[in-house]
Parts: sequence; C-alpha cells; structure tokens
Amino acid sequence: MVHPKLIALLVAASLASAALASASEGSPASHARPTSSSNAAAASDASTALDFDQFYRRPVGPYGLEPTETLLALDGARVRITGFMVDEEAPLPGRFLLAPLRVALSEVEDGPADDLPPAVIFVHLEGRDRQGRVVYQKGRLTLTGLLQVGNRDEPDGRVSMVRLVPDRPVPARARDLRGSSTRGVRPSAAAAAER
Amino acid sequence: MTPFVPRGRWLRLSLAAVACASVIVAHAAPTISRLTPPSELFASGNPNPPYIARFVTGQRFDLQATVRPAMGTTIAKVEFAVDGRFLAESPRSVLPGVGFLTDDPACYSTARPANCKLVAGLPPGTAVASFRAYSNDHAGVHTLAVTATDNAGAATTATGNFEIVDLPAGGDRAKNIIIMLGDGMGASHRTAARIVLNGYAQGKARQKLAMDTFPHTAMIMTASLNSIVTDSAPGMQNYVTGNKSSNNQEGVWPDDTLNAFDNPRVEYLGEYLARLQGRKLGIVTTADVFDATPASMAVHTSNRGAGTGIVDQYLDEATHASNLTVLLGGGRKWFLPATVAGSGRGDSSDYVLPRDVAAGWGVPAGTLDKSRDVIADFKTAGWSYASDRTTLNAAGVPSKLLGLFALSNMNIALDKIDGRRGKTSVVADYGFPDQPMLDEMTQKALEVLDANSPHGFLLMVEGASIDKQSHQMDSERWIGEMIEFDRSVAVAKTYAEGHPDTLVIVTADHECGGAVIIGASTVTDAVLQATTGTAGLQGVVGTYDAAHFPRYPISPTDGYPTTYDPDFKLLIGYGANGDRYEDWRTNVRPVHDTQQPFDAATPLSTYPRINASDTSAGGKRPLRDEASGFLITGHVAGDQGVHTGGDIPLSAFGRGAALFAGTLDNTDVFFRMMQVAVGGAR
Repeated sequence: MVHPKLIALLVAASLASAALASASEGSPASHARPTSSSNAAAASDASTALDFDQFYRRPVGPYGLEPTETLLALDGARVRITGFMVDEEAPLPGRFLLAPLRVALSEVEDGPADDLPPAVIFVHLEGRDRQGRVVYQKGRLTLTGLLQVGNRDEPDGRVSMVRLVPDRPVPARARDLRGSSTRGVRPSAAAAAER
Repeated sequence: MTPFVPRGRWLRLSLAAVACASVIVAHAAPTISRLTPPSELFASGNPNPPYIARFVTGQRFDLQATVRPAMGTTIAKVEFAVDGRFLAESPRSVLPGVGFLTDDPACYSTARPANCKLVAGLPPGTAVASFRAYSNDHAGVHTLAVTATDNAGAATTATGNFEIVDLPAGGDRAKNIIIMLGDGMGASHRTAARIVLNGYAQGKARQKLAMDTFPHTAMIMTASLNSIVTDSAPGMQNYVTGNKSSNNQEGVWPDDTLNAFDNPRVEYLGEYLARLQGRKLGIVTTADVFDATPASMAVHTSNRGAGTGIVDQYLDEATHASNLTVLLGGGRKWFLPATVAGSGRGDSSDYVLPRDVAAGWGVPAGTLDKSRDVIADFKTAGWSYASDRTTLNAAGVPSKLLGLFALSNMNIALDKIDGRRGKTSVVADYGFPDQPMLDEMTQKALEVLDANSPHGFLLMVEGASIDKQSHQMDSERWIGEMIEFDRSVAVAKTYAEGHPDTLVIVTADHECGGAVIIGASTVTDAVLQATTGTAGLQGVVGTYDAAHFPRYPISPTDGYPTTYDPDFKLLIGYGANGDRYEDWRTNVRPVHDTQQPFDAATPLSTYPRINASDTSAGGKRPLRDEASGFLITGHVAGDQGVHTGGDIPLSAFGRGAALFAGTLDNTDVFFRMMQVAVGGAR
C-alpha cells in the first residue's frame, strides 16, 4: 500500500510541473495578472542580491545570533535571494519557508522543535494568494520581493526573524492538496526552478 | 519517609500465593498491565534475584500501575500497599502525590483527538494510577501490591518487589565524588589514546594515561532496562539512580502516558545527597547541556530530546532539588527566547508536570514558555554567566556558574586546538573561536564547587565527543577527544590528591563504534597520501609484527599531537560501523553536525557526510574520503557507527576506591558511591 503522504508528494510534484508549464504558456486560467519573463528580468535588476550567509554575525557573541548590518540595512528593500523551499508536513496557507539547503519538517509528528536553520526566510504571499496552498517544489528557487527584518509571531507558533513578500505570484491550475477550495499557487513569478 | 495513612485495615495477601502467581485475576476483572518499579516478580513471577529495582534507605521513587478494565466496566479505585501495609487509594485519596489518569472516550476511536493523555492501543477506560515520591527506610526485599477494583466490584491484585539496600556505617565517608564520564569510551579508546600520547617502547607504555594510574578497576555491564545496548541516557542515569531506565529516558521508568515529563521518577544521587546532606552538584560537558549524559544527572524525562523542558528543569528543579551550582557546556540555543535568532526553544519540547508529580516531589510544575530568557533567569537566580574561554577565566570563583560556550555541541578538541594554534577554520566556521578545553572547564568547576560546598559536592565531567566522533568513525578526532578527557582526569586526580576525602571514578556509559586497534600503517605519510584504491589502502595496514609501535610528535606547548598523520601511524577499525570511505588520514573537516544552527549555511553546508544515507541538505554534501579512500561496507544501516553492548572499564581513585572492583552492573556503581558517601569505607 502506498502511504497517503507519498501520494500527496507525488501529486505535489506533478502539480508543480503543471504549474511551471502553465506559467510558461501564460495560462488563460490565471486569475491574477501574470508577470512576463521580461518584466521579471527588469524587476530583478532593481533588487539587491542577498545570501543566507549574510544574515547573522560570526563569531557569535555572548548571547544569541545577531543580524548583520547588511541584513538590517535591507529591511524594507527589494532583494533577490536563492534557496530551497522547505518541505513542510503542515504548511500554512499563503506562506512557505525558504532555507539555504533542502529541509523537510515533520511538524505533525515532531512539533516545531526541528532542525530548521536560523537563517531562513518566511515567505508571505499577499493579495488573493494569501489563502492559497503553496505547492512544494524541489530544487533551487530564486525569489525577488520586499524584505522585512524583525520578530513577528507566526500563526503556527514560530517566530520569524526575516520575511519576504515576493513579487506577485502566478496562480496555477493546481488545486489544494487538502481538497479545500483554496487554490494552489506557485511560489513566485520571479522564481527560477532548478531541478 | 512516606506519610502513612491510617485506614484501619491491612491487605491480607498471602505471600506464598503471590510467589506462585504474581497476578491474581478474578473473572472479568481488571487487568494490571504495568507495575512500576519494574520487577521480575511482576514480569515473570520470579520472586528471587535479580531484583530489578533497588534503592538506598530513604531514596524516593514513584509507584505506578496501568490498569485495564474488563469490557463494559470502569476502574473505581487502585490501592497501593507495601508488605501488606496500605499506602493510598487512587483516585479518592487526598494525598497530593496520588494521581489517577484516564482518557476521554473519544481517545479510543480511530481518530484520536489531540488532547489524549494515554498511548494508543489501550482498552477504553484504562487508568494509570500513581503514588509519587514513596520511600522506605527498612533494608531488605519488599513486596509491592496493587489492587484494582472496577465499578462492578471485581478486583485484581498484582505484585512486584523491590529491594532496599543497607549501607553499613563505618570507615571514612567521601565528602566529594567526581564522576569522569568518557562517553562511548571502551578499552580500545583508552589504549589508542595511550599509544598516541605516550608511545610504547619494546612493548611497554612509556607512560600511563592519568586514568591508567587509578589503582582500582572494575568491569561494568552497561545494559539498559530494555536492551543489551544502551544509549547515553540510561548509560548515565543507571549510575546515579541505582536503577535501570529504558533507552532515551532519564531519571524515570517507562509508562503508558504521552507526557514525556510525567513518567514515574526515581531520585538521583545528586538529589539525595542535596536533600539529606546539603551537597552541591556540578555538571560539565563538551556536549550541549541538554544532551543525554548531562541531563541524566538531574532531569526527569522520558524524552532525551526535549531540550526546552530539560534546560528549564535545570533551573526550575535542579538548582533546588540537586543544589546545582555549576553547569558548563554547549547548548545555548535552548536558553535563548524564541524571539532571538539561534533559539531552539519551542512549546513542543517544553514541559508541564501534572499536579501529582509537582505536589508529590515538591517541585515547580513548569509551563510552556518558549519566549523565556533562561540565561537571564539564571542570572536573576544569582548565577554568573560565561560565554567563552575569556569570560570563563574572568569569572573568578562565583557562588554559582553557568557557562554556555556554543549554541549546540562544542567543537572537538582537535579543532579547538587547531584554532589555538592559529588554524582557526573549523571553530571559526562554527562561529565560536574562543571555546575552553574540557580540562579548563573541569578546573573552574572544581574551584567553584570547592569554594561553595561546605558539605561536599558531586561533579560529573563528560568527554562527550569521544562518543560523537566514534559515531562518525573519525578516529583522529576521538583520539584527540580522549587526550582532552584524560587531561581533565588529571585535573580531578590532582584535586583528590589535595583533598583525600574525595572519590574519583573514570568510566563510560557504553562503548561506541566497536572501535579497535587493528595495527599501524606500514608506510610513511607521503606514501599514504599517494595510496588509493581498496588493494592499496588495505595493503598499508600492518597487522601483528608489522604494526610495530607508532610514534606521534607531541607539542610541548599544548600537550596534543602536532600531527595526527605521522609516518607509520596508528590505524583504527570499527566493529559496529556504517558504510564509510576510509583513507586512513586525518579528515580536514569533521562530519557536519545537524544540531548546529549554522549546519545549513555556508561553510558548514559544505562539511562532509559519511555515506549516502545521510540525506540532510538534500544529499548534496560531499562524501568524506570518497575520492581518496576505499569503501568499507558497514554492519549497520544508517550513516553512523553505533553503540555496542560490551563491558567497559571503570577506574577509581581516592576515598573508597577499593569498593570498585570485579564485574559490576552499572547500577551497582550507584550503591558503591552511596556506600562511600553515606556509609563510609575503610
């Protein structure tokens, strides 16, 4: 018997592929304004490249990790960063996590006491996509959007230090894996997937 | 002493009948499926030794039974009696330490709601009844009887037994006890360190290790309650409770509830000595202080991974119940509020005690407080705080000392020494370039305890990464860790020489890796570097006569090898290994550590893994020695070597050391230490 979670992942993978395909074809089913590749390129030109290694100071001081001047200076700025979408067992609508390496979380079984690295970005979708279930994508993602730095309580009990509101995402025809009426959305129009 | 509740009646139990059948079941009566403390009388009906649960007089422990009702009935009451003498009735007792836990009916459906308290698979109406913090002052074997009665009046009695061990008075008592715990340190680990540090001449060690100079030696059987192969939680706690716990569990026995902090407890050596004699406790480790060995000195939980609750319990409980006075190691991430980057705190790893545990043991109940600043709370409680070697040195001799030198586990001795020699890459990559060595931490701990312990102290010093690097099958790194540990042993021995009322034992919780000395390289390092392939790298292994006696250059400045790759170097094999590539040379970088906060960031993200079963970081990490080494197929799945079940050596020095001889169970060590501390030794 195939584990239900495996089915979900397989479906997710196929939906992600479908999403990429529909985006490249400029699917007529898209409800939000699609961002053309030329627009995306122009947008990335106006952003600052940020790397996860630039988040926190080393050596570590006597207490916790301290944000670098680089990170603090980019609060509110439009940045471009490359990472991996975290594979969450219990993702929230309209939000996903971007980490420097591939990470899988088992929130249901293990709770939020996990190996999520401190240098992680909480990516929040806005507009009508706030309720959308983000389809997990393997591979490297480059996101562009507005950066927010500072503590904020997340609905799942985590505390985010760094957040990103990406450029308007392109909705896909993917349906929510949980069977609700909310839509599945791709992480970002400016996302370049590397498989 | 346990409060006695006059009930005006005695349970009339026939011990003879009990001996024949430990469980007397009436028709359609409840079933008692677990009785704690564990005993062979309950498990198999055998009333004779070995007695699984043993205690010293007055040592506190919980009594607990899991009672399953017959179909269609409910459990009305559960009565506890020792030697036929009634103790308490659950749930109607007014005693604060009596507990009675049942689940919602919905918890027995296939869709268990989130608030269920008991493990799945039990029949509806199952009850877990507890009598907390019981103790007994009378030496000998005692019978524990539990009688469960259902709402139809049907009753079942189950019996178990436990032993109270007498500690005869006489001789001199040890005021201080120091436990030097080399995690994962087997006999070959000791031998390898001796060869590397001192060398051999015509078959004789040029010099002994500090631990070799201890005059008394015992062999220790290390099994846990549920396995011949222990993990570090029972491996440590068995020494300091006198009882067996199951793997992953610290200061408790198994139960049938989901709460990891409500398991039936047993009082620690440190708690006993603090409560009755006012002694202090110190804990020093190179691991994260939440790790199994340090936590198994003072924390009560069935989940060794519950870091938030474990460090909270150090402060909430151990500072009072154990007189915890020194706590040094890594693990700062559990002390940082969740609002601070690098924090590992979370509600799912935190703790809240049920009322009967908190009331019975007289300890705070705890709360879910991921935003707690535990470092600040330690400071408020009067503790000094050191964050690196510099501030540790500058701390002087405070009344209480907390030192957290890394967010997670501290770096390995080899890498710390490299850092001090100006080769700072690994410690810099970890973000903590100024970490103290274990012997420096030991020295400071002894200074603080000596100045603040008029009634004596118990100190545990753990060389944690002897084990961690044996898991990684990184021979040079655990040998360096052994040298660091032995230098710490020398510090403890020096203290005991100046304070003859001190007992020092050097031991391990278990062996790790099945590490063995297979011989030595037959070639120079230059040739070894140029040697590749299975045939070539197997061909350089000199066995028997060809091994000769490897010689390592030792720095006169810091006392560690100037290189771990001399010509004709020592070669180590592993009998409990995972698949690995081996080129026999020192690995420039240690295997990555998933517990490190920067593990996923550059440059730690490029640190190697051992084999393909390590898929962290998407399986993109380089395989250690893949290009330069040959593949050795392991005995076990996974990416690490594993603990082994063989006996390990214990060495003893100082007051009462002669009691540590022969082949002992790890729980026997507790009673030997208690004898020296409480009864005295000649």
